[in-house]
Amino acid sequence: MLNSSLVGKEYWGATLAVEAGAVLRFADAVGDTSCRRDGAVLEAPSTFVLALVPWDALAALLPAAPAEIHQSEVQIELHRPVCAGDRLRIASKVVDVARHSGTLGATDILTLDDEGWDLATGKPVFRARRVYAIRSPKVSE
Amino acid sequence: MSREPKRSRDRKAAAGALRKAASPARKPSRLVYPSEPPPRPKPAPPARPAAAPRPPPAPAKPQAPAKPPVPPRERPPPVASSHHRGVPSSGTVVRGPDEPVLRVGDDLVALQRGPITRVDIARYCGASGQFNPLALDEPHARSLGLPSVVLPPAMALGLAQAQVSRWLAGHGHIVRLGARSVKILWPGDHLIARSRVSEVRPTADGFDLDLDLWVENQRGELVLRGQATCRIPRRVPGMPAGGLQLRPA
Repeated sequence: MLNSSLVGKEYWGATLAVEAGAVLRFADAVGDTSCRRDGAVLEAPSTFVLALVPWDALAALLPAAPAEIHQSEVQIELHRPVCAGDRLRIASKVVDVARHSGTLGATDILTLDDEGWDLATGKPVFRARRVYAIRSPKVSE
Repeated sequence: MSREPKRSRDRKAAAGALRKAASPARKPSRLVYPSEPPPRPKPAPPARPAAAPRPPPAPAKPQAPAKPPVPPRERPPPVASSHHRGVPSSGTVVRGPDEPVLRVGDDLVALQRGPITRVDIARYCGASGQFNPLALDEPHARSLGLPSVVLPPAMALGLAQAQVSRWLAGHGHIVRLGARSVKILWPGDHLIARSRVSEVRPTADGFDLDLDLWVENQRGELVLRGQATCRIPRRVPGMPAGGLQLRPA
Protein backbone atom coordinates (compact mmCIF):
# COMPACT_ATOMS: atom_id res chain seq x y z
CA MET A 1 0.00 0.00 0.00
CA LEU A 2 1.40 3.34 -1.05
CA ASN A 3 0.96 6.51 0.88
CA SER A 4 1.10 10.14 -0.03
CA SER A 5 4.56 10.58 1.48
CA LEU A 6 5.90 9.36 -1.85
CA VAL A 7 4.70 12.49 -3.61
CA GLY A 8 7.67 14.62 -4.54
CA LYS A 9 10.16 11.79 -4.52
CA GLU A 10 12.57 12.05 -7.44
CA TYR A 11 14.77 9.72 -9.41
CA TRP A 12 17.65 11.09 -11.43
CA GLY A 13 18.92 8.71 -14.01
CA ALA A 14 22.34 8.60 -15.55
CA THR A 15 23.18 10.56 -18.67
CA LEU A 16 21.94 8.63 -21.67
CA ALA A 17 23.38 8.54 -25.16
CA VAL A 18 20.67 7.58 -27.63
CA GLU A 19 22.09 4.81 -29.78
CA ALA A 20 20.93 4.13 -33.31
CA GLY A 21 20.77 0.40 -32.62
CA ALA A 22 18.50 0.92 -29.63
CA VAL A 23 16.22 3.15 -31.70
CA LEU A 24 15.97 0.59 -34.49
CA ARG A 25 15.33 -2.27 -32.10
CA PHE A 26 12.54 -0.30 -30.47
CA ALA A 27 11.07 0.69 -33.83
CA ASP A 28 11.06 -2.94 -34.92
CA ALA A 29 9.42 -3.99 -31.66
CA VAL A 30 6.49 -1.60 -32.13
CA GLY A 31 6.25 -2.07 -35.89
CA ASP A 32 7.27 1.45 -36.85
CA THR A 33 9.07 1.35 -40.17
CA SER A 34 8.91 5.06 -40.84
CA CYS A 35 12.12 5.95 -39.05
CA ARG A 36 14.27 4.07 -41.56
CA ARG A 37 15.04 6.79 -44.07
CA ASP A 38 18.28 6.92 -45.97
CA GLY A 39 20.29 10.09 -45.69
CA ALA A 40 18.29 11.48 -42.79
CA VAL A 41 18.93 11.68 -39.09
CA LEU A 42 17.49 8.65 -37.38
CA GLU A 43 14.51 9.91 -35.40
CA ALA A 44 13.20 7.70 -32.66
CA PRO A 45 9.51 6.78 -32.48
CA SER A 46 7.56 9.03 -30.14
CA THR A 47 7.01 6.31 -27.57
CA PHE A 48 10.74 5.70 -27.39
CA VAL A 49 10.87 8.22 -24.57
CA LEU A 50 9.16 5.60 -22.41
CA ALA A 51 12.18 3.41 -22.97
CA LEU A 52 14.51 6.13 -21.73
CA VAL A 53 13.23 5.76 -18.19
CA PRO A 54 14.53 2.45 -16.87
CA TRP A 55 12.31 -0.03 -15.09
CA ASP A 56 14.65 0.30 -12.12
CA ALA A 57 13.48 3.87 -11.67
CA LEU A 58 10.08 2.59 -10.68
CA ALA A 59 11.58 0.16 -8.23
CA ALA A 60 13.70 2.93 -6.77
CA LEU A 61 10.68 5.15 -6.24
CA LEU A 62 8.50 2.52 -4.61
CA PRO A 63 9.02 1.37 -1.04
CA ALA A 64 8.57 -2.30 -1.98
CA ALA A 65 8.39 -4.33 -5.13
CA PRO A 66 4.75 -4.41 -6.22
CA ALA A 67 3.06 -7.71 -6.87
CA GLU A 68 1.06 -6.45 -9.80
CA ILE A 69 1.64 -3.32 -11.79
CA HIS A 70 -0.29 -2.20 -14.85
CA GLN A 71 0.46 0.86 -16.89
CA SER A 72 -2.92 2.48 -17.34
CA GLU A 73 -2.21 5.82 -18.93
CA VAL A 74 0.58 7.63 -20.77
CA GLN A 75 0.96 11.23 -21.90
CA ILE A 76 3.95 12.32 -23.96
CA GLU A 77 4.87 15.81 -25.07
CA LEU A 78 7.81 16.22 -27.39
CA HIS A 79 9.53 19.58 -27.89
CA ARG A 80 11.51 17.99 -30.68
CA PRO A 81 12.02 14.44 -31.90
CA VAL A 82 14.53 12.34 -30.02
CA CYS A 83 17.30 11.47 -32.45
CA ALA A 84 20.13 8.99 -32.50
CA GLY A 85 23.23 10.65 -31.10
CA ASP A 86 21.36 12.76 -28.57
CA ARG A 87 22.76 12.93 -25.07
CA LEU A 88 19.93 13.30 -22.61
CA ARG A 89 19.45 13.61 -18.89
CA ILE A 90 16.30 12.07 -17.53
CA ALA A 91 14.52 12.67 -14.25
CA SER A 92 11.35 11.14 -12.81
CA LYS A 93 9.16 12.41 -10.02
CA VAL A 94 6.14 11.08 -8.17
CA VAL A 95 3.38 13.65 -8.55
CA ASP A 96 0.37 11.82 -7.16
CA VAL A 97 -0.65 8.76 -5.20
CA ALA A 98 -4.28 7.81 -4.91
CA ARG A 99 -6.21 4.81 -3.73
CA HIS A 100 -8.98 3.24 -5.72
CA SER A 101 -11.31 0.57 -4.39
CA GLY A 102 -12.84 -1.66 -7.00
CA THR A 103 -14.38 -5.06 -7.34
CA LEU A 104 -10.98 -6.72 -7.28
CA GLY A 105 -9.88 -4.94 -4.15
CA ALA A 106 -7.88 -1.85 -3.40
CA THR A 107 -5.52 -0.52 -6.02
CA ASP A 108 -2.97 2.27 -5.70
CA ILE A 109 -2.78 4.74 -8.54
CA LEU A 110 0.72 6.13 -8.94
CA THR A 111 1.39 9.09 -11.22
CA LEU A 112 4.93 9.83 -12.38
CA ASP A 113 6.26 12.73 -14.40
CA ASP A 114 9.39 12.27 -16.50
CA GLU A 115 11.41 14.96 -18.14
CA GLY A 116 14.38 14.80 -20.47
CA TRP A 117 16.87 17.55 -21.30
CA ASP A 118 19.41 17.80 -24.06
CA LEU A 119 22.84 18.02 -22.46
CA ALA A 120 24.25 19.93 -25.42
CA THR A 121 21.74 22.76 -25.32
CA GLY A 122 20.19 22.44 -21.89
CA LYS A 123 16.73 22.65 -23.43
CA PRO A 124 13.96 20.23 -22.57
CA VAL A 125 13.31 17.54 -25.14
CA PHE A 126 10.27 15.78 -23.76
CA ARG A 127 7.88 15.48 -20.87
CA ALA A 128 5.94 12.37 -20.09
CA ARG A 129 3.33 11.36 -17.55
CA ARG A 130 2.83 7.73 -16.65
CA VAL A 131 0.02 6.40 -14.52
CA TYR A 132 0.29 2.95 -12.97
CA ALA A 133 -2.23 0.80 -11.19
CA ILE A 134 -0.38 -1.05 -8.46
CA ARG A 135 -1.38 -3.85 -6.13
CA SER A 136 0.88 -4.62 -3.25
CA PRO A 137 1.62 -8.19 -2.28
CA LYS A 138 -0.66 -9.71 0.32
CA VAL A 139 0.94 -9.93 3.72
CA SER A 140 0.83 -13.48 5.00
CA GLU A 141 0.20 -13.95 8.67
CA MET B 1 -40.91 -59.23 -83.38
CA SER B 2 -37.38 -60.25 -84.24
CA ARG B 3 -36.21 -61.20 -87.66
CA GLU B 4 -33.17 -63.41 -88.45
CA PRO B 5 -30.55 -62.00 -90.81
CA LYS B 6 -30.36 -63.51 -94.25
CA ARG B 7 -26.57 -63.36 -94.45
CA SER B 8 -24.33 -63.83 -91.47
CA ARG B 9 -21.69 -61.58 -93.01
CA ASP B 10 -24.03 -58.77 -93.08
CA ARG B 11 -22.59 -57.13 -90.08
CA LYS B 12 -24.86 -54.26 -90.10
CA ALA B 13 -27.95 -56.40 -90.05
CA ALA B 14 -26.56 -58.69 -87.39
CA ALA B 15 -25.69 -55.83 -85.20
CA GLY B 16 -29.15 -54.47 -85.60
CA ALA B 17 -30.66 -57.78 -84.61
CA LEU B 18 -28.49 -58.08 -81.57
CA ARG B 19 -29.40 -54.60 -80.54
CA LYS B 20 -33.04 -55.35 -80.96
CA ALA B 21 -32.76 -58.54 -78.94
CA ALA B 22 -30.88 -56.82 -76.14
CA SER B 23 -33.21 -53.91 -75.87
CA PRO B 24 -36.51 -54.54 -77.43
CA ALA B 25 -37.96 -51.39 -76.13
CA ARG B 26 -35.47 -49.33 -78.02
CA LYS B 27 -36.61 -47.13 -80.79
CA PRO B 28 -36.39 -48.47 -84.32
CA SER B 29 -33.20 -47.93 -86.23
CA ARG B 30 -34.77 -45.59 -88.61
CA LEU B 31 -34.73 -43.02 -85.93
CA VAL B 32 -31.01 -43.42 -85.28
CA TYR B 33 -28.99 -40.51 -86.34
CA PRO B 34 -27.39 -41.34 -89.72
CA SER B 35 -23.86 -40.61 -88.66
CA GLU B 36 -24.08 -42.78 -85.57
CA PRO B 37 -22.20 -46.07 -85.87
CA PRO B 38 -24.06 -49.30 -85.37
CA PRO B 39 -24.67 -49.92 -81.72
CA ARG B 40 -22.71 -52.64 -80.04
CA PRO B 41 -24.18 -55.49 -78.07
CA LYS B 42 -25.07 -54.82 -74.50
CA PRO B 43 -22.36 -56.94 -72.79
CA ALA B 44 -19.74 -54.74 -74.30
CA PRO B 45 -18.17 -52.32 -71.85
CA PRO B 46 -20.12 -49.17 -71.55
CA ALA B 47 -17.61 -47.21 -73.53
CA ARG B 48 -18.75 -44.12 -75.23
CA PRO B 49 -18.90 -44.45 -79.00
CA ALA B 50 -15.81 -43.02 -80.61
CA ALA B 51 -17.66 -40.81 -82.96
CA ALA B 52 -20.47 -39.82 -80.71
CA PRO B 53 -22.04 -36.71 -81.91
CA ARG B 54 -20.86 -33.80 -80.00
CA PRO B 55 -23.48 -31.65 -78.53
CA PRO B 56 -24.01 -28.60 -80.52
CA PRO B 57 -21.94 -25.72 -79.29
CA ALA B 58 -23.64 -23.76 -76.61
CA PRO B 59 -25.06 -20.59 -77.89
CA ALA B 60 -22.89 -17.66 -77.18
CA LYS B 61 -23.76 -16.15 -73.85
CA PRO B 62 -25.11 -12.72 -74.06
CA GLN B 63 -22.43 -10.30 -73.07
CA ALA B 64 -22.76 -8.80 -69.65
CA PRO B 65 -23.89 -5.26 -69.67
CA ALA B 66 -21.03 -2.83 -69.65
CA LYS B 67 -19.98 -1.83 -66.17
CA PRO B 68 -20.28 1.77 -65.27
CA PRO B 69 -16.98 3.59 -65.56
CA VAL B 70 -14.86 3.41 -62.44
CA PRO B 71 -14.09 6.77 -60.99
CA PRO B 72 -10.46 7.69 -61.41
CA ARG B 73 -9.67 7.36 -57.72
CA GLU B 74 -11.59 4.76 -55.80
CA ARG B 75 -11.30 5.34 -52.08
CA PRO B 76 -11.42 2.45 -49.65
CA PRO B 77 -14.47 2.12 -47.49
CA PRO B 78 -14.52 4.24 -44.40
CA VAL B 79 -13.42 2.86 -41.10
CA ALA B 80 -16.31 1.05 -39.49
CA SER B 81 -16.03 1.19 -35.75
CA SER B 82 -18.46 1.95 -33.02
CA HIS B 83 -15.83 2.84 -30.45
CA HIS B 84 -15.13 6.35 -31.58
CA ARG B 85 -17.08 8.98 -29.72
CA GLY B 86 -15.58 12.06 -31.33
CA VAL B 87 -16.24 13.62 -34.67
CA PRO B 88 -18.14 11.46 -37.14
CA SER B 89 -16.28 9.95 -40.03
CA SER B 90 -16.24 11.84 -43.29
CA GLY B 91 -16.14 8.53 -45.12
CA THR B 92 -12.71 9.26 -46.52
CA VAL B 93 -9.48 7.41 -45.78
CA VAL B 94 -6.50 9.65 -46.37
CA ARG B 95 -3.29 7.92 -47.34
CA GLY B 96 -0.85 10.60 -46.25
CA PRO B 97 -0.44 14.15 -45.06
CA ASP B 98 0.49 15.23 -48.59
CA GLU B 99 -3.00 14.59 -49.88
CA PRO B 100 -4.31 17.73 -51.47
CA VAL B 101 -7.43 17.76 -49.38
CA LEU B 102 -7.59 16.98 -45.70
CA ARG B 103 -10.54 17.59 -43.45
CA VAL B 104 -11.93 16.85 -40.04
CA GLY B 105 -13.45 13.39 -39.91
CA ASP B 106 -11.00 11.82 -42.37
CA ASP B 107 -9.68 8.44 -41.29
CA LEU B 108 -6.08 7.41 -41.51
CA VAL B 109 -5.11 4.07 -43.00
CA ALA B 110 -5.51 1.50 -40.24
CA LEU B 111 -2.59 -0.62 -39.11
CA GLN B 112 -3.04 -4.21 -38.03
CA ARG B 113 -0.68 -6.49 -36.19
CA GLY B 114 -1.04 -9.94 -34.79
CA PRO B 115 -1.24 -12.41 -33.41
CA ILE B 116 1.04 -10.96 -30.76
CA THR B 117 3.27 -13.72 -29.49
CA ARG B 118 5.26 -14.05 -26.31
CA VAL B 119 8.35 -13.47 -28.41
CA ASP B 120 6.89 -10.13 -29.54
CA ILE B 121 6.29 -9.24 -25.90
CA ALA B 122 9.82 -10.19 -24.92
CA ARG B 123 11.19 -8.21 -27.85
CA TYR B 124 9.24 -5.14 -26.80
CA CYS B 125 10.22 -5.47 -23.15
CA GLY B 126 13.85 -5.86 -24.10
CA ALA B 127 13.81 -2.94 -26.51
CA SER B 128 12.00 -0.65 -24.10
CA GLY B 129 13.77 -1.77 -20.94
CA GLN B 130 10.41 -2.24 -19.21
CA PHE B 131 10.83 -5.60 -17.54
CA ASN B 132 7.45 -5.91 -15.94
CA PRO B 133 7.24 -9.48 -14.56
CA LEU B 134 3.56 -9.46 -15.35
CA ALA B 135 4.47 -9.38 -19.05
CA LEU B 136 7.39 -11.78 -18.92
CA ASP B 137 7.05 -14.19 -16.04
CA GLU B 138 4.30 -16.71 -16.67
CA PRO B 139 4.42 -18.43 -13.25
CA HIS B 140 4.30 -15.02 -11.57
CA ALA B 141 1.27 -14.02 -13.63
CA ARG B 142 -0.48 -17.31 -12.83
CA SER B 143 0.26 -16.90 -9.15
CA LEU B 144 -1.76 -13.69 -9.29
CA GLY B 145 -4.73 -15.49 -10.77
CA LEU B 146 -4.15 -14.41 -14.34
CA PRO B 147 -4.45 -16.98 -17.13
CA SER B 148 -1.11 -15.95 -18.65
CA VAL B 149 1.24 -13.05 -19.05
CA VAL B 150 -0.26 -9.81 -20.35
CA LEU B 151 0.76 -7.45 -23.12
CA PRO B 152 2.24 -4.17 -21.93
CA PRO B 153 -0.33 -1.49 -22.83
CA ALA B 154 2.53 0.62 -24.14
CA MET B 155 2.85 -1.95 -26.89
CA ALA B 156 -0.63 -1.07 -28.12
CA LEU B 157 0.27 2.59 -27.80
CA GLY B 158 3.39 1.89 -29.82
CA LEU B 159 1.25 0.39 -32.56
CA ALA B 160 -1.02 3.44 -32.56
CA GLN B 161 2.01 5.68 -32.78
CA ALA B 162 3.45 3.52 -35.55
CA GLN B 163 0.23 3.92 -37.50
CA VAL B 164 0.46 7.71 -37.32
CA SER B 165 4.20 7.74 -38.03
CA ARG B 166 3.76 5.51 -41.06
CA TRP B 167 1.03 7.79 -42.28
CA LEU B 168 3.20 10.87 -41.76
CA ALA B 169 6.06 9.16 -43.60
CA GLY B 170 8.53 11.81 -42.51
CA HIS B 171 6.32 14.73 -43.54
CA GLY B 172 5.76 15.78 -39.95
CA HIS B 173 6.27 14.86 -36.33
CA ILE B 174 4.14 13.75 -33.44
CA VAL B 175 4.44 16.44 -30.78
CA ARG B 176 1.85 15.16 -28.35
CA LEU B 177 0.61 11.67 -27.68
CA GLY B 178 -1.55 10.31 -24.93
CA ALA B 179 -3.61 7.20 -24.36
CA ARG B 180 -5.45 5.27 -21.71
CA SER B 181 -5.59 1.51 -21.51
CA VAL B 182 -9.16 0.23 -21.54
CA LYS B 183 -8.82 -3.54 -21.61
CA ILE B 184 -6.11 -6.04 -20.79
CA LEU B 185 -4.39 -7.60 -23.80
CA TRP B 186 -3.26 -11.20 -23.96
CA PRO B 187 -0.78 -13.15 -26.07
CA GLY B 188 -2.45 -14.24 -29.28
CA ASP B 189 -4.47 -11.07 -29.60
CA HIS B 190 -4.62 -9.15 -32.85
CA LEU B 191 -4.41 -5.37 -32.67
CA ILE B 192 -5.88 -2.89 -35.09
CA ALA B 193 -4.84 0.74 -34.68
CA ARG B 194 -7.22 3.36 -36.07
CA SER B 195 -7.23 7.13 -35.98
CA ARG B 196 -9.30 10.00 -37.25
CA VAL B 197 -8.64 13.68 -37.83
CA SER B 198 -10.40 15.61 -35.08
CA GLU B 199 -9.07 19.10 -35.70
CA VAL B 200 -6.87 20.96 -38.17
CA ARG B 201 -5.24 24.15 -36.96
CA PRO B 202 -3.21 26.26 -39.38
CA THR B 203 0.00 27.64 -37.91
CA ALA B 204 2.63 30.11 -39.14
CA ASP B 205 4.73 27.46 -40.83
CA GLY B 206 2.26 24.72 -41.52
CA PHE B 207 -0.55 23.20 -39.54
CA ASP B 208 -1.21 21.09 -36.50
CA LEU B 209 -3.31 18.02 -36.86
CA ASP B 210 -5.21 16.58 -33.92
CA LEU B 211 -6.04 12.90 -34.16
CA ASP B 212 -8.25 10.62 -32.14
CA LEU B 213 -6.60 7.24 -31.74
CA TRP B 214 -8.03 3.94 -30.72
CA VAL B 215 -6.93 0.34 -30.82
CA GLU B 216 -9.22 -2.67 -31.09
CA ASN B 217 -8.59 -6.35 -30.66
CA GLN B 218 -9.67 -9.14 -32.99
CA ARG B 219 -13.15 -9.19 -31.46
CA GLY B 220 -13.60 -5.51 -32.19
CA GLU B 221 -13.34 -4.59 -28.52
CA LEU B 222 -11.78 -1.31 -27.59
CA VAL B 223 -8.47 -1.83 -25.81
CA LEU B 224 -6.84 1.60 -25.93
CA ARG B 225 -8.06 5.13 -26.56
CA GLY B 226 -6.05 8.31 -26.97
CA GLN B 227 -5.18 11.45 -28.86
CA ALA B 228 -2.20 12.70 -30.82
CA THR B 229 -1.11 16.01 -32.25
CA CYS B 230 1.07 16.11 -35.34
CA ARG B 231 2.98 19.15 -36.58
CA ILE B 232 3.21 19.19 -40.34
CA PRO B 233 5.02 21.83 -42.39
CA ARG B 234 2.99 23.31 -45.18
CA ARG B 235 5.52 22.45 -47.84
CA VAL B 236 6.22 18.78 -47.98
CA PRO B 237 7.78 16.87 -50.88
CA GLY B 238 5.23 15.89 -53.45
CA MET B 239 2.66 18.38 -52.30
CA PRO B 240 0.77 20.27 -55.01
CA ALA B 241 1.93 23.78 -55.71
CA GLY B 242 -1.11 25.21 -54.03
CA GLY B 243 -0.33 23.48 -50.79
CA LEU B 244 -2.94 21.90 -48.63
CA GLN B 245 -6.51 22.93 -49.15
CA LEU B 246 -8.08 22.51 -45.78
CA ARG B 247 -11.75 21.85 -46.10
CA PRO B 248 -14.19 22.74 -43.39
CA ALA B 249 -15.72 19.84 -41.53
